[in-house]
Amino acid sequence: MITFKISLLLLLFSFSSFTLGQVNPNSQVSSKIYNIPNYVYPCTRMLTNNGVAGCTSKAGGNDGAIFLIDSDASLDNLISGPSQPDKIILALDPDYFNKSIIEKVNSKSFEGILVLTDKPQSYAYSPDIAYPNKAFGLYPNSNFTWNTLGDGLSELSFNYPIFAIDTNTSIEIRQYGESNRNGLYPKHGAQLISFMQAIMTSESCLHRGFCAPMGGLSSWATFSPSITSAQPILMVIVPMDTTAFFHDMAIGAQSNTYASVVLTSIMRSLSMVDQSTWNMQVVFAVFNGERWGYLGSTKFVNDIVNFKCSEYYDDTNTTCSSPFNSDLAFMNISLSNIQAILELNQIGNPLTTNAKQQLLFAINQVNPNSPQSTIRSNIMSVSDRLNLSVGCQVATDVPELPPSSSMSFLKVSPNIDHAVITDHFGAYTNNFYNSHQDTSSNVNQQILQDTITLFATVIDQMAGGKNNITVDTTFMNDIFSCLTQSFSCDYVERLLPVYPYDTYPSFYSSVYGTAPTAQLLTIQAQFFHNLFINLTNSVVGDVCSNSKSCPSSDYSCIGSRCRISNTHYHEAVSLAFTFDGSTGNFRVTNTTYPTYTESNWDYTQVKFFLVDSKKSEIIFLIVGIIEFLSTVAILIFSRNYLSKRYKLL
Amino acid sequence: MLVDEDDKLNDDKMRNIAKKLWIIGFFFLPWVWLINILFFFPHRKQLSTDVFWYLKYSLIGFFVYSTIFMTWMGIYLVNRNNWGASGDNISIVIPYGY
Repeated sequence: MITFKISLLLLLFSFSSFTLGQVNPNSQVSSKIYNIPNYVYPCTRMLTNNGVAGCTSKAGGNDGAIFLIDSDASLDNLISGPSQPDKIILALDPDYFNKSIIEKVNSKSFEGILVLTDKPQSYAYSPDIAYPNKAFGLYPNSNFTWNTLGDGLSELSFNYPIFAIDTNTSIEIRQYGESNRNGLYPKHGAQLISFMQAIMTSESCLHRGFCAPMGGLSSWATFSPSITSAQPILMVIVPMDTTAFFHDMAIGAQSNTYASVVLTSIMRSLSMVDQSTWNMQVVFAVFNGERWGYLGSTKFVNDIVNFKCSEYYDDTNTTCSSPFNSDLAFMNISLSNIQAILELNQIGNPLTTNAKQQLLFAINQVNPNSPQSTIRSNIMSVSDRLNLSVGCQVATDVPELPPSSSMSFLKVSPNIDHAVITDHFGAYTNNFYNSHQDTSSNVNQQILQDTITLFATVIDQMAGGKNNITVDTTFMNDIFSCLTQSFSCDYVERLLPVYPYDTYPSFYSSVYGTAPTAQLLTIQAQFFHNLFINLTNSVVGDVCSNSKSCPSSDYSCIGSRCRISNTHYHEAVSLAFTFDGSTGNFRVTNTTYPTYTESNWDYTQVKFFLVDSKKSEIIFLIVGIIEFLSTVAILIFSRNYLSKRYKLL
Repeated sequence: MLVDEDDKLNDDKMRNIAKKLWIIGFFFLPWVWLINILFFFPHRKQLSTDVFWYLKYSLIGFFVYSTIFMTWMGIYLVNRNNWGASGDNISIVIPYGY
């Protein structure tokens, strides 16, 4: 009798664990059933006031057998071959990931897409649109095409999940796909979970609290202990963030991370020179959220022009409680005091050469033929004077200023002297603009040192210095590999309070946060800020463990030392949104500004598992039922027999 | 009907029950009207005119209310997203992703 009860209990237990609840992901059973890769990169959903873009899975995820597309034959087999008996998940070779292929396969029924990354894409491709940020720049009605390779895939909406998979897992998936193609059992299946909460528009999802505005935190720093109106300002700026179809794979080496490496190395070089003769205040800034309609620069310019604090947090007047702003240092900067802007934009791989075999950067200006431009003459004189492998040339044939953060300044004050430095004269020469393929192999590392020397000298000369610039090549190489290859260098360990979960460097801005007082700070944005403090600190104090153990609030504890530096965060969020304190949500109040938001989600995951054929599954089930029934019969029979044989039972 | 007393359902008791259920139904509880009918279904042969009146209007009430409610439900489910903020404000639960 006891055995019967135990066996019933066991049966009940096994039934409930398999059918009622989900298998506990930490249990040994789960790890035997599923193979769950650590690093997967989902396509997520973005919204504007006009609709949605990106991907979503069903609420419980989409699953199917892996179907590999790695050749035209396999693509044809899917399109015109016999229809697939099971649900399928497509696994696309890197070369088969573009808009025309996606449109082709969309005519067939499938559950989701995995994009492999074990090989580089063999042709130039950009999933972004032809004119990035067109509506928010200086030329909303332009007919020019900057990103000629862009097919606009990133702007489309998909009602199935798409994931990119890390290199090692991609190799496995390729084997899975080949095994499935050969008709071998058990088949390899995958489940893709990326269920997005927001639908329709930014306005609707913000009201529901199902999405958050795009944005983040920009950083700016200066060597001067304080900004005064006595000296003019030279802004040296870089758009910090980048994007890709898979947001967490946005290295953007050429599109702007190279410029970030150059900017920080310039700061490193200038921190070692004699600045006593400088008669300009040099402000270095990396703007966040620039890919989503110049959020960081627009907010910065708007704040230095319009921000008025109606209620200070305390007597120090450094924090404003209404409207909330945690750092008011920007109020010392006035737009009229900004004399010139030097923007390092897309400079990773210049291809044009001159007679001296120098690789040329383009100096882009709104009016390149204007007779007076101090910054242009300074760049040209330095470029001619120094005998480097790189040089500069004014881009006179380009019809417009390329998409750049400077536009935000020029929109408000068109007469600021400016130079937007790019590696392209005219349309982009970047082979992988805003694609996850824009990696360190897409830029020219050989010219990095000369590029830093060139622009550091330009800045020093503009500011009034006559220094010979030396480049800290160790720093330069460390930062380069850190920002474009693996976000795990010495500086990451020293300057960040936490070690990144995934060392894949991604400069996707992510979201601003759910409220002005609940901002999200990505470790990349924090890294730039802490690096700026480290590079521009005027006082280095005692060893510390956190900022509270430093002598005063002027200090920050960065790299285990108390440091004083004129470095500040600045919010990067669209002016389209107003925070409504009564509901605790943002509202869309001005649609002339970008309305990009990102949907919330619980979690994203890819699981691999084995699927047996229908036939063997049915046999398994029938054998199981027979086994169950015969066990019951044997138990009943033996109980009857034993109770007759032994009266005690 | 497991209680003995139920065997002794007389006209007074039946009218009392029918009337109470009929009134309760007005508090947006059309299913109570339906219960009213179902409860008296076994006794359909012995209904007084009073009880029959309550039952008749319970049934009509049930159908009228259900029709209105179902129609509204349909309109609401189809259009709730298009109504924007006002649609959200009249919703108790807003499901993720739909």
